[in-house]
Amino acid sequence: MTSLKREKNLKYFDNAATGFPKSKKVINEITNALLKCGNPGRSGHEYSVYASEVLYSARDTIAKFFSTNPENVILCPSSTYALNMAIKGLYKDNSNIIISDLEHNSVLRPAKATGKTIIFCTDVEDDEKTLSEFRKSLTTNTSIAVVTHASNVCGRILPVEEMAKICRKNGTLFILDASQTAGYLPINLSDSDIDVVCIPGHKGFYGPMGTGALIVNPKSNLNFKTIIEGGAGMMSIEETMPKHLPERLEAGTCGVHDFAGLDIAIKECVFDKGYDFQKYIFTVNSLKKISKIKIYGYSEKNSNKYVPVILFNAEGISSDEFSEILKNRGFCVRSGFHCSPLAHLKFKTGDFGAVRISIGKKNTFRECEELIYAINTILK
Amino acid sequence: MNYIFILSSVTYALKGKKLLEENGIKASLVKSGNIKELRGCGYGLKVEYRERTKAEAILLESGIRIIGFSGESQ
Repeated sequence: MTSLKREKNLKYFDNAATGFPKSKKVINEITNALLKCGNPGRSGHEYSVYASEVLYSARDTIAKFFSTNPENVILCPSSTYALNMAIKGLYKDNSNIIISDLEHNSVLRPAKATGKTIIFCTDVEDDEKTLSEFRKSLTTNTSIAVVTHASNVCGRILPVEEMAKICRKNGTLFILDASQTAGYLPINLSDSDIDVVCIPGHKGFYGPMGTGALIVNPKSNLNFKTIIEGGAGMMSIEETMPKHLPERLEAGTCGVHDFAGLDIAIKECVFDKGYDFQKYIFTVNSLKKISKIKIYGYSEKNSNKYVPVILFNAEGISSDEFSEILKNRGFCVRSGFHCSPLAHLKFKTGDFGAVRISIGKKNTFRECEELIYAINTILK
Repeated sequence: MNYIFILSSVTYALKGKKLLEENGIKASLVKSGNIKELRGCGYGLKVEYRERTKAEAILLESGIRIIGFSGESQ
């Protein structure tokens, strides 16, 4: 195993991959649950009942955060699982699926595996153009639209509430991939036409990896086909999964200790858009001043429509090489394609990918200054 | 004497437990291995017999479906 000799000096800018570091309270809660939890929802003894209560508390916390009911929160191992369950579970045979050209493989691949997928073009400069392209791609045969709330590659926030409204009028279900925004932007389902939100627990919430949720709007009456079947701790004589949520989509034992950690992580979550935005704007503006840096997918006039993710390349240096140089200086960034091939086609970075800086809530302004100083020094 | 409400799932049972406790009614989660209405295992909420009418009203008002009832000696 790789040693972490420089651990204390590492500066972490890969928060779009996972929010880091996790808080001590989260770690303690996971440990506590490991010590006390039996299998949730399976037995009547104290360890099992305690585990059921731990799991319900996490479900309730997520429900409150997104303004829905606890039974509309399906706990699963990741946003990818949630997206697969939503796309495959809600797709109508022989219909179309529409997705944006900024989607992650967690949307692109299940969509392509499920049905005819139409990709609409986004415009980082103009939301009206994005909405116009969205409308054009929608037909009476579109059963679902799946759109990222913000790109994991360039950070651009898309006009998803408007898209969901358009879908509601068209009789199309709207699935939101909130992998980059859950914990960064508020999402109020009770006041929204979004039908389903898919979230990871470990990114913007700083919860443990291995946690995610599919969250259903309390106004949406959805019938999910199941893609995974198994024990649900109830109706055991039946050969099919229970009809009602959340148990319909929760086959098998879930990682209750991790959800105990997620529960605390969400309770700790605060929106500090001011400071996060300050760090982002400083970093992106500083990078723009470096002549050998090319930034992709950024629109200055829409700078308030971004989560703190920046995609760039340095002239004459591949993204892998540049991230390696930064690594040797103690900075953690990501290179390559970030599991989003469509976005790299769009930004013409399909040959070698690009470097991604993703600033987290726990990064300090000082760390952003140090990163910029390091990049300037490398390129001198 | 206790009274047990049989509910459609452990999630609804815990939702009900929280609601009852918010209304001052002590409730505990119980497991049953063979509930005819559920065709197998399920969960219920145990409350004191004298609280059953108030508890039932609270559960129904919040949309929690009650599958059945059973009495139990202490």
